[in-house]
Amino acid sequence: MDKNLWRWIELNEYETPSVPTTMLAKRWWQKMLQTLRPSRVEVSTANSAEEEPKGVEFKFDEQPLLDSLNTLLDQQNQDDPRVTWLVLAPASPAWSVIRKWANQNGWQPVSMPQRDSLLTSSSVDELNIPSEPWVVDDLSHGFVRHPLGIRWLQNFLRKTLQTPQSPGLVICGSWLYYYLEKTHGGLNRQALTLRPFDTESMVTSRIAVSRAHAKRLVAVSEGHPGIAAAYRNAFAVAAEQTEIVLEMPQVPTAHGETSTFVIYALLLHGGLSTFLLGEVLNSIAPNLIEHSLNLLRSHGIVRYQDDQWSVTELGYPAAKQFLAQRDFNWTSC
Amino acid sequence: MDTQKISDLFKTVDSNAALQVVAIILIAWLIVFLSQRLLPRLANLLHSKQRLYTLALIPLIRLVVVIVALVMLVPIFIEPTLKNMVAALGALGLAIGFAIKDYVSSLIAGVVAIHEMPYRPGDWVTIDGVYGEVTHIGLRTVELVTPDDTVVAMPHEKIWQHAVLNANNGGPSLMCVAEFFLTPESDGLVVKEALEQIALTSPYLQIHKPVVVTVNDEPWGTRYRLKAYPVDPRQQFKFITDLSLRGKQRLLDLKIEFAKVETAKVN
Repeated sequence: MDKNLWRWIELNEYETPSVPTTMLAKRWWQKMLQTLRPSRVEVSTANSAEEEPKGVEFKFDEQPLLDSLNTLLDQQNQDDPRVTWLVLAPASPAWSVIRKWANQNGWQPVSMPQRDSLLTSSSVDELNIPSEPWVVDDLSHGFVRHPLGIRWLQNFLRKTLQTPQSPGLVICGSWLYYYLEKTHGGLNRQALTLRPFDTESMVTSRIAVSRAHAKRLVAVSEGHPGIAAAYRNAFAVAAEQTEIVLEMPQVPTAHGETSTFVIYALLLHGGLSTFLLGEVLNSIAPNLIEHSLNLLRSHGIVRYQDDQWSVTELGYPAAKQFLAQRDFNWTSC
Repeated sequence: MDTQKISDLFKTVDSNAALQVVAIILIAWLIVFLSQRLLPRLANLLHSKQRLYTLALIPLIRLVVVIVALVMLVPIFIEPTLKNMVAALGALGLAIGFAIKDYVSSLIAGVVAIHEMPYRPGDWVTIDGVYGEVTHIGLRTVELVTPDDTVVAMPHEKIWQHAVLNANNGGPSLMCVAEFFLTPESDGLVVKEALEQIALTSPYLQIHKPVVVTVNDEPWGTRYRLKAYPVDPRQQFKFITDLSLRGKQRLLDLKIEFAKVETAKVN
C-alpha cells in the first residue's frame, strides 16, 4: 500500500478533489429539480445508514495511518511544548486511530467534563493540563453551543494559548474548528488535516474496486475516505461493472430553516442527545425540531443511535451541500 | 404649433401597423408579466446572494423590455427625422409639465433607481421613516413589506428628497442590534463576555461576521448594544428576539440589575 496515502497537510492547503463535469452537471440538475419541487417529501430510495450493509464490509488498514502519525508526531521533540491540532472530517477513520496511537505512545488524555454537566454547573470545571504529552481526543465533548456550554472550551483555548509545559494534541471536528476559527478571532495554531483522497488513492487504498468506481466515490464523498468507505459498503459494485450508481439521499426542503439548524448543530457537535439538541436550539419550537429530525431520518440524513442524533455517513455529502447552498457557516474540509 | 403641423408628425396607421403595435405591446407585456411572476418564485426557492441577484433581475428586465418596445413602437407612428422628434418631444414636454409632472418624476426616478441602485429587491431599507423589505420595484413605485406585513407603495420620486437607508445594500449581510439597559454599577466586563457568548451561541448567527458589544453611559444607567449578523437578512427579527430573550435570561442568572428608568426624571 502507498505510504503517502495518509498524509497530513496544513489545513489551509486542503483542496477538494476535482469532480468530472458530467457528474457536476448531473448533481446541478438534481439540485434544480429539487429546488423547483420543494414540496417533495417522499422518502428517498437510497439506503439509509441504519440499514445493514450488504456483502463484505470494507475496513481500513490502521497500520499506515498509525505510521503517518508516528512520522508526524515523532518529529515533534518532547521538549517542544507545541500544541498540534488535528482537524478531522466526520466519519474519518483517523478518529479511532489517533486515540489508539495516543494510548500506545503514552500521551495522557486531558480530563473533560461530561457534556450534560456543562449546562448545569454554575462554575466551569478546573482544567488541568498534564505535565507530560497530552491529548484531547475529541474537543467537541467539552462544548455545547449554549452560553453555559461554551465556557469550558473558551477556558481551554485561553490555557492552551499560553505556552503549555508539554506537547499537546487536540483532535477537533472540522465543523467545530471552523466555528472556533471564525468566532474566536482566528486560532492561529498549527492545524493539520488529512489530504483528501483522489481517484488514485481510492484505488490504492482498495476502497474502490475499479477506476470507474473510484471516480464515483471521489465525486460523492469529495475525497473523504470515511464517507467513500460508507458508500462502498452501502452499494455493492463489481470490478467489471461500468454503470455505477451511488444514490445520495436528498435533504428534504420542507422545514428548510429548522433542518438547517438541526443539521448544523449535529455536525458542529459531532452528534447530540435529544435533550442537548433542544438546549442548543432553544429558540426553535421543540415540535418543529422533532418533526425535522423525523423527516431527516426518514430521508437517511440523520440517525438516532445510543441516545444520540447524528448525521449519517451516507447523508453527510447531501447535508454539507444543503448548508453550502444556504451559505450556512459551512466548511469545505 | 397648429393642429395641421402636429398631425403631420404622425404616419397613417394602417391595419398592418396596428397589428404590429398590438403584437409588440402584447409580447412586451407577456415578458414583463412572466418575469414578475416567475422570478420572485424562483428567488424564494434560492438563498443568500443567489436570491438577491435573481430578484434584482426583475426591474432590469422590465426596463430593457420597455425601452426596446418604445424603440420599436415610435417609428410606427412617427417618421423618425430630427425635426419630427424635436416637435414630438416638445409636445410631450408640454403635456408632462402641466398634467403628469409628479407621475413622470416618479418614472424617471424609477429609472435612476435601477441605475444607481439605492435599493434592490431583497434589500431592507428605510425610506421616509418606513422600514421594510423591498419586494417589488415597479415603474412608478417601490413596494416595501414592513415587519408587520403591511405593503407600502412608495413613489420612486422620494429618492429626490429623502435619504434612503439601506441595511444590507444588495448583499446578505445585515447588522442586527439588541439593546440592554443596565444599572451603571454592573460589571461591564462580565456583561460584555456574557452578551458575546449569547451571540456566539445563537443558531441564527453568521459566523463570518464579527460580534461586537458597545457600551454607552447615559444619565439613567448604561446602554449595552450587542451587534451581530444573521445568516439570512430575513431572519433579523427572530435573531434580535433570540439575542434579547436569551441575553436577558443570562444577565438575570448573573444577578445583573436592569436599569429602571423613571420617565419623569428623564424628561
